Amino acid sequence: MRKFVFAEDEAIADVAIDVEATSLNELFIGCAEALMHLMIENTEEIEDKKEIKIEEKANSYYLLLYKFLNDLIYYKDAYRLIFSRFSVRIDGKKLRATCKGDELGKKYKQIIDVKAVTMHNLYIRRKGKKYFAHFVVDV
Amino acid sequence: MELKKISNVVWEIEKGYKEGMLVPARIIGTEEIINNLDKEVFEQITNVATLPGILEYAIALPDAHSGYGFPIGGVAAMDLERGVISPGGIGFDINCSVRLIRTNLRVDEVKPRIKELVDTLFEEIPVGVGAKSDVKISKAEFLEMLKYGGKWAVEKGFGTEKDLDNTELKGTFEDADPRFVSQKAIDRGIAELGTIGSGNHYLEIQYIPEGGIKDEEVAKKLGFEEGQVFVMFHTGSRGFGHQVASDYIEKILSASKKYRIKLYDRELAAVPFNSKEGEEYYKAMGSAVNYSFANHQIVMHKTRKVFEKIFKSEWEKLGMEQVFAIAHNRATIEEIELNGKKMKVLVHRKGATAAYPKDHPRNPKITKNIGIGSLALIGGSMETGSYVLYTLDSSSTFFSTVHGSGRTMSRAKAKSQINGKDLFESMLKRGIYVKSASWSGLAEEAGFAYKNIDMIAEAIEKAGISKRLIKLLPLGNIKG
Repeated sequence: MRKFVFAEDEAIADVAIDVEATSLNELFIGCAEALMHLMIENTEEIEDKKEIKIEEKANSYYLLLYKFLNDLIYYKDAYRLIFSRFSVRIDGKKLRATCKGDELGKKYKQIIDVKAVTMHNLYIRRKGKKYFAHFVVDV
Repeated sequence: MELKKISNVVWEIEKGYKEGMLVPARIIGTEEIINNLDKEVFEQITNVATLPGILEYAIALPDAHSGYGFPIGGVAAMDLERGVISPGGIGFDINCSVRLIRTNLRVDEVKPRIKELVDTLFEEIPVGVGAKSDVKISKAEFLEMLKYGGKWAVEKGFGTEKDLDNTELKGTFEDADPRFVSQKAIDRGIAELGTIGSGNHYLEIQYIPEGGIKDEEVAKKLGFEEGQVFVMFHTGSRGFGHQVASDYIEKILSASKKYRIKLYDRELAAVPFNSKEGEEYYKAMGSAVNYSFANHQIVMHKTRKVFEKIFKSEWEKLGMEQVFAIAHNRATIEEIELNGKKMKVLVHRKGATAAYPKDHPRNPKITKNIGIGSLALIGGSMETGSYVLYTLDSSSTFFSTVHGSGRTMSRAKAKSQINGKDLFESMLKRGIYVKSASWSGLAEEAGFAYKNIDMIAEAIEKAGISKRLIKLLPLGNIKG
């Protein structure tokens, strides 16, 4: 289970996002879904025509999230790929993800272009059985 | 927190306010601006004051609003020998710039064709999410472009030498070295060269309204008249600059531990300018500066071609010369005088532009020739207009001035208050035709989400830093 909300007034020029999930893997998926939802209105209509694999390493979960989300932005800019289905496996300091989606095109309603995930107030926390992430994107 | 009034437009937070502050913070603005300032700016500018090697003051200009690490509208000068460089003090969109092109067209000639003109510009210049470049470039050429920037673009036929004369640094950041940029940055850069992007990036057709000339004598010398049409656009180094920033923020965050730099915010990650990491970032940043210069030349070239098509005349005959191009996200080495001694410093400007007095060696031809300080292009919201200023005495801000109007409201809040289509209709009734990649993106940029640009221009003039030259109002706009 995972859910996300866009925080109203934290980042005046940009957008802050809060994500909650019941596992770390789900949390990363929720963050990726929020990122896509910010850019594309009808993410539920993104078809599974392309698949990419992402592997990253980092000393902390927040850096792993920073790298993962910035990789998704890279694929959007360099290859015009957007995604709607993700599987993520975090094993210690390593992340392995499979992302399925399609090329940007007129059938996908663009909202705003995210250019980077920032380190500003970026965190991952665990409270009991729930995981929380917070990040701000540059648009 | 006590805000000490230094003058009617200069306010100071003393260095005892926060542990680690090495210098005071100074905020420039009228009482009204200060009272309405986003409070996070005070925290962010005092965090900047903790960075090693910072000189005199950490400065927030009248258009300041909170950013990440540095506030937008923030300026910090670092001692070159013992000071740091911080990617957060430069921003993600490295060398994000505003460019102004004049025309000899009159508002009455353009108004009847504004829809056709804006629609064609929208078709020819890629904007929006995943805007795709139509510039064919090999990797080898791309690396050349990263070394030479605007000069490369002019050699490839995108503009003229005269454009470079009126571009900061003549369109080339000489310390650029593409060996220090990642393959990811190169991939993103190739895909987006010659595009505008989205967010607050735009291309706007503007004119000088009645009463829009604020300094008759200087306007006359520059050939500016009421009713004259201009093109202003705002874009930068696109995903390339963002990738350079993302790559180096991560590297420098890790390296700052090695140099024992205490950080009050991860986005203030910094390393000594005189270090391997500092040098590599500076050279990579320079490559992004050059990308931005080239990107601007290409967008300007496309704009000129659209005008040729619509008005069936060569762009030269339409008088489409570049007035000036100026960036607001860059670190630049400047020579300053401090306590009677000349010294070189690294000036971080994030959401702030360079502003050189009339006798400064970096004052470009267009203003040097008529005996005034360099121009600053202050982009306002798409509803309220923009200003062109010229520099008076900018020594107190390390040769820096304002860059725009600055947001007062989040994008989400703006969208909750107006629908993009309603905004479009309302602007159309007021004679402004906008073409946007999305209604949602349009709503986010509504005029009420920005500070009053007249107040910003008035404040910087009261501070004696820049003087209002002309005001420009929008006729048409393309947005991502």
